[in-house]
Amino acid sequence: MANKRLASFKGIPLLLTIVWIAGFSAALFFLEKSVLAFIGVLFSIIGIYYTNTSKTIKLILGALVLLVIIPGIAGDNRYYMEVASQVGIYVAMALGLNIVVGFAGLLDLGYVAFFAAGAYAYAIFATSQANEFIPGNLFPLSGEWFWPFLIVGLVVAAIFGILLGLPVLRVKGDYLAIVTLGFGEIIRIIFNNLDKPINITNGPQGLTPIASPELFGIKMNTPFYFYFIVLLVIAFIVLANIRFEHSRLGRAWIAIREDELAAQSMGISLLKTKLTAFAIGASFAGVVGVIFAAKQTFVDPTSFTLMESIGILVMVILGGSGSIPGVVLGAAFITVLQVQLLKEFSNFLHSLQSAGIINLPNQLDPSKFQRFVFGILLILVALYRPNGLIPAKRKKNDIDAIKNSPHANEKLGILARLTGK
Amino acid sequence: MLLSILPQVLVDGLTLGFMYAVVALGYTMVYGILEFINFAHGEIFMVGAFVGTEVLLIADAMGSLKGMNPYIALVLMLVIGMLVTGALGVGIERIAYRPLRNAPRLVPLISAIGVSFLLQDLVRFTEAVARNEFYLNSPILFNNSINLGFASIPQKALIVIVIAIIMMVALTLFVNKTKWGIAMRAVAQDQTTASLMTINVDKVIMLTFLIGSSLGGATGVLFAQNYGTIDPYIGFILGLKAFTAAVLGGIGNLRGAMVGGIILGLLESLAGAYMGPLTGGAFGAEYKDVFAFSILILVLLFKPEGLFGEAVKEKV
Amino acid sequence: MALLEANGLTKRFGGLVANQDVTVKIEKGTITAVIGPNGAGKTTFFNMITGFYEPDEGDILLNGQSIKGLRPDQIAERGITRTFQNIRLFKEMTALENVMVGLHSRLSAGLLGILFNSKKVREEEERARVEAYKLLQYVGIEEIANEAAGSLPYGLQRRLEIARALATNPQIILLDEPAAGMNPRETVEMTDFIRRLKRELDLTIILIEHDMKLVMGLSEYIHVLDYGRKIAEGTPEEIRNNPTVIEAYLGKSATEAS
Repeated sequence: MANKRLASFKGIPLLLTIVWIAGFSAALFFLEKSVLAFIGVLFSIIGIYYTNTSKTIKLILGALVLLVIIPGIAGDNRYYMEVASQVGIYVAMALGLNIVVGFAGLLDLGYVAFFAAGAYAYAIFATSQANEFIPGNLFPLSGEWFWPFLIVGLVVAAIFGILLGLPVLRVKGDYLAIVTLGFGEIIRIIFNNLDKPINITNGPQGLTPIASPELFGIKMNTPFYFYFIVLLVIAFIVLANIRFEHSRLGRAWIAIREDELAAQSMGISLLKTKLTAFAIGASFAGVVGVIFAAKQTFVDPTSFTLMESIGILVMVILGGSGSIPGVVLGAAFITVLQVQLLKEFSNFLHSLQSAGIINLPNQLDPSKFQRFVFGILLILVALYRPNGLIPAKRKKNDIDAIKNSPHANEKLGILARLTGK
Repeated sequence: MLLSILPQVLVDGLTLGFMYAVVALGYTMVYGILEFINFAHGEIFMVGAFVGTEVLLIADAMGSLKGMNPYIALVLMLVIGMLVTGALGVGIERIAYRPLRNAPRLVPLISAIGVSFLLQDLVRFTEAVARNEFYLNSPILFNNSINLGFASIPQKALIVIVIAIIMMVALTLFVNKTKWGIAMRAVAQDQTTASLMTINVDKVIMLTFLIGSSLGGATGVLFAQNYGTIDPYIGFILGLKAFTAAVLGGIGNLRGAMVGGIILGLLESLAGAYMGPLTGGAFGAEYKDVFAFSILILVLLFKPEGLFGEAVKEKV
Repeated sequence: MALLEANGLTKRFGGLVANQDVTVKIEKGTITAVIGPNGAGKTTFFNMITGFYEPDEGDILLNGQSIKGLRPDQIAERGITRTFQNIRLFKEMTALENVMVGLHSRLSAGLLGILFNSKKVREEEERARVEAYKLLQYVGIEEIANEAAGSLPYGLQRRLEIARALATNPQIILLDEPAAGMNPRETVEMTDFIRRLKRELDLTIILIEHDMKLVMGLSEYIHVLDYGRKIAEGTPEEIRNNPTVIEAYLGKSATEAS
């Protein structure tokens, strides 16, 4: 029954989507600092995805919201742009983890290590830290170096991914979760202690001030600029996700997720294929790490705890493991929940407290309930919606196009042996 | 100087090792039967520590601790701690794992990770409401030390070791000599056949969680008595290390878990004490967790069946 | 020279000897059956040939070259493929995609090619779709090309698994109980289908099967395993009349009584 109803659901009427966008944009424009209106605009992206219209119109609408409406109306509001770029950072990370967990089925609990690798790669050279171990007083690098370092962060994290993956990915099944968790902690402990014998990471003090990106002499040190940088990176990562999903590589990942033994007997090398997933997922986290370091202008090991890995995992699982729109939704929802809703609620309680209405012990501050929220969400999703809010589904191939393909009459593979029989 | 601290290091390592060993039993029992890593087991240990300590604190507040024999107080803490954690373990299995027994591999694991974080915050929340703080300082029942000349063994460490041994012996006897213990072994070997032999598999799994969790909880009580301060996050790293011990000994193997725990405790204690001096201060005790994880990874890579496990064949 | 030679294969699991000194020669273009009572070590034998288990002793030669110690994917690339006793499809993927997975090692798309959607990759993908579809047609299930593999009825899953195996362009295909769970009519269809595979595609086929009617009607040569050892080999006629085989299947009393 439910399935039938879903199948007959053609999508949200275009008009409704446009009304939604216009309504919330207007609200955002006229009401001073309305969080609800801002979230409404942000989530209209999901609405656009489900609108019953052509791909081109969806793309235009999406671009309109992301490139015109949000920066146009909220661009001068530091807070909104900050929230939007944070959402973006987590969307990008979750999409990276989606390749590892969602496609290849590898439960990686140490994903944040790659994020840290990217962040430190930039932070060390964009502060005077690198002078500690490279002679010549060449550092800090100027903000123009941010752009090449996006690639450096990508490569460094990918190398990290391969070095970690080589031993870790030989481990079977559930053990992988524990081992990646262990590795994630190891990396954090090492970053925390690598101020001796050679001072590389400056240990628990962290690194600051990290140079802000610069382009044509413009210093990009406000959330407004980071919003666009993040958007650019997300566009790239979404495109990569889509391309991989239905490729030779994506099929191999999913085959391994579904059945390792069968995948092997189809000629798929387990280690190599898993390693590619691990390295690609890591490299995305690395790029985002560089942006994170530049945006915060400060990094220390406390930004890269297990809770970060778990948070990103919750985004993927809640949204729908292996489902690109699902993961975007999951990441946006969890980030807004964390940076907005819980904080708002906590501010509200604090205002009640200062009015003398309630007594709020420090420990009961809602913004501290991250573990509780993540825990409940993981259990509920596992029990009631194991495929997430927007389950992944495989694309149906166009059979007519296959039949009419110019290659339809070629002799291919084993069927070439049929000739003359 | 390095050698003179050795006896003390060994005593510390042994105490830690016995705790790892008993917690490892919980991991290994569940894994043996369900082939599932009960991520929340470390948190059950943590809950045990809090329940035991609360028992002591409440008794103290009521004034009934004065004049009470410390051994009776300890037994009281252990019994209540084990009852609560045993029930907790069974409840978790019933609510968060059993419905997922036929789900894809990753799903119950995700549920278990969820339970683990939920418990941490629930304990923090409860303590915050009750005491306005999230950590507890436990009154210590046993403060004496036994001086052996070359080392002094704190009485509390001795108690950890003795009780751990009692629990391990009791479990071994239970598994080998009683009807339910034998049923447990049968289910671990082959669930379908066991159920054909009219063994109630659900009940056996429940029993496994009951025993494994109450052993974990009891270890928590001992941990709090031994170290004095506890917080809701103690279970996580300890659980991870106990799991390492279970893997080291050969997961699914009770004796392996015991030996693995003791070996790991000793190695960790030695590494913590000597790594710094031996590397000229470059890598000190702050790397001792790294050391334990490295053991886990090395074992999984080179001897995944552990020291005492049998090589399993994959079901093709 | 035989196409595939297994020389003195031995595999132990702890104290259990699953295969002991098993020697089997397979000629090109034949249908060979490996039979034996439950637990005789037939699937272990398959697992050694396909690289899932490494033999403790003995050697496996394909065209005279040793393939012992290679990983399953490397063996698949060298032209030995298989199906599984309890059907192992990629359940979430469509039938067409399952077959496309089988094409994996014959496709070459790399990371950058996929990322930039190069012309070469697009063309390769289109060819792959065509080939996969044709394979589905060949096994007669092209109507369900877009269905999720896990949702298909049992008989179609068996055929899909064979189509997927054919996609690797094998020389040898190992079928582990291809007719298990089928009714007599389906079994006859499967028998004809296997014959067609051999005739039309020049395939060498090795199969494990319990259905004696199928085995005797289909195979040209039979190897019999019992308790991990090979106790007999020969044509169906020879096996049918071999007292050792009858004893293994029916127990000692049966031979004494007859």
